[in-house]
Amino acid sequence: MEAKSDVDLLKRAWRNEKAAPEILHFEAGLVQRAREQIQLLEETLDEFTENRSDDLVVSLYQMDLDRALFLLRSYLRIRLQKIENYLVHISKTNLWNRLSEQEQRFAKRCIEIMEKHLEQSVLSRLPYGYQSMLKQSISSDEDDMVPEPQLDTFVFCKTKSDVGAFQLDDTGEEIVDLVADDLYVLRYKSIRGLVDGGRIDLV
Amino acid sequence: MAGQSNPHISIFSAPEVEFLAEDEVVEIVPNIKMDAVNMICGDFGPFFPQIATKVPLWLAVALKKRGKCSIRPPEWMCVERLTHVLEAERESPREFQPLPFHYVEMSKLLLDNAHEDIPDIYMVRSLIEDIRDVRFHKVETGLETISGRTHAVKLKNLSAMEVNIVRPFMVRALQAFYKHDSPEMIQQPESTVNRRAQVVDRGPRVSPCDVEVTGSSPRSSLLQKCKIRETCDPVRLLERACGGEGNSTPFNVHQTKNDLGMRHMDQSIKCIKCILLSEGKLISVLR
Repeated sequence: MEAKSDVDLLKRAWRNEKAAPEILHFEAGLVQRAREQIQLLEETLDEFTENRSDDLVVSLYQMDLDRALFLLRSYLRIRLQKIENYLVHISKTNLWNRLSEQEQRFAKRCIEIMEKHLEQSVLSRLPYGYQSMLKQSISSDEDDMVPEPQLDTFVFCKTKSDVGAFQLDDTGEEIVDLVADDLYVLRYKSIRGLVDGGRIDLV
Repeated sequence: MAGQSNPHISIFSAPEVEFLAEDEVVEIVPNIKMDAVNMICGDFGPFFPQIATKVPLWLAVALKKRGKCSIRPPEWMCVERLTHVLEAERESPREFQPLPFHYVEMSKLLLDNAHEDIPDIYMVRSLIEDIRDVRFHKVETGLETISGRTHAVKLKNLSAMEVNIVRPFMVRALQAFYKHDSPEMIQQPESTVNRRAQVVDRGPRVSPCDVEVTGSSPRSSLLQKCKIRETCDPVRLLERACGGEGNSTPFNVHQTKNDLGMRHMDQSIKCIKCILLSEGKLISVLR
């Protein structure tokens, strides 16, 4: 495998995150490195402006900085969007461990606020038995009011290397041969393991 | 609510796809002397006049806009190669020719920003447009082959922008087929006739308690379901409203015989024409 710059890696993480229906593992190390590089470049740019360096060079660096910033922000933002959408679901499953510390803090506060808001505006005025934020009524066995990401959806993905014969469903009736660098439309649920292991890229 | 998800969350916008394409490497010939730049996305240069060097496309365009370099068009962007690709594209209706993953965006950026660096620019532009048209037509005809048993679609050599355009429709179609072909949707044909009528009225959502898995063929029971809905099928009405079975557009997916299921299985699918109309963006891209 060729060595990839952090920007390339961040780009891949961003693409995967955008294309996957559920929240993926937070790329802590990568984000940390990207932040450091961005900070370094910001400092360099400050120096440049003090020394009145060549405008052309400064503007090129500025563009590079803007591109990295966009990527990082968009990555963080798409995650926040997912957290907001599937707040309760994430907090109740082991998806919680995929969040960064800050994201966990954000999610906790978000849940609190949401609970308080719903309680005050609607739930407290409903008859007994219908006052739960999670259940339609007290007779529901499960939490049936919790939005969940739709894992049955189909995603476009590109294979990085040969995966070989890959089983798409539980019964083993559907098998595709995943060849390197090919584009497929597959059900997310069946390939989530490959996405997690970084063997396949979503596009 | 459970089961619903924001349909737009996973879709890249066209500028975002272009952003990705701007990292593709091209060759430039600078006309200035400049030290090497150490950027977050890599180190480039040093730059000397008349000595070619490789930079990402965004950097090339930035320099070009300031008149500091000329861009060498990539190898595939010449009349000879493109003519060859177009011919091959037309000759083989079942496959796509290999082109760079971002060929649409790259050619657009280069044609807009570096027109004097590309020989035979008019020819190149029209060839690329033709190639795009031929390829998209193939995508459209390919959509016809999607059926309930489609678990995977292989699209070798499809490019990023083409993926982005076809994604909303493709994903929704596959999802609907998957949902309606899953065993939970297939019900006992005899004993649940009355119940089924109710279920059908409620549309695609079937609560788990109504479900019975049987050994009957999925197709036949689906067809029965279709019949019930045929009389007051909103899709039919919609179809009539937008020109019926007419052939005014190139999209003929909903006219084929073997996709009966597609029309009647799910209201949310409608016919491809209606979807394309409702997503005005798409249709403008296609034209």
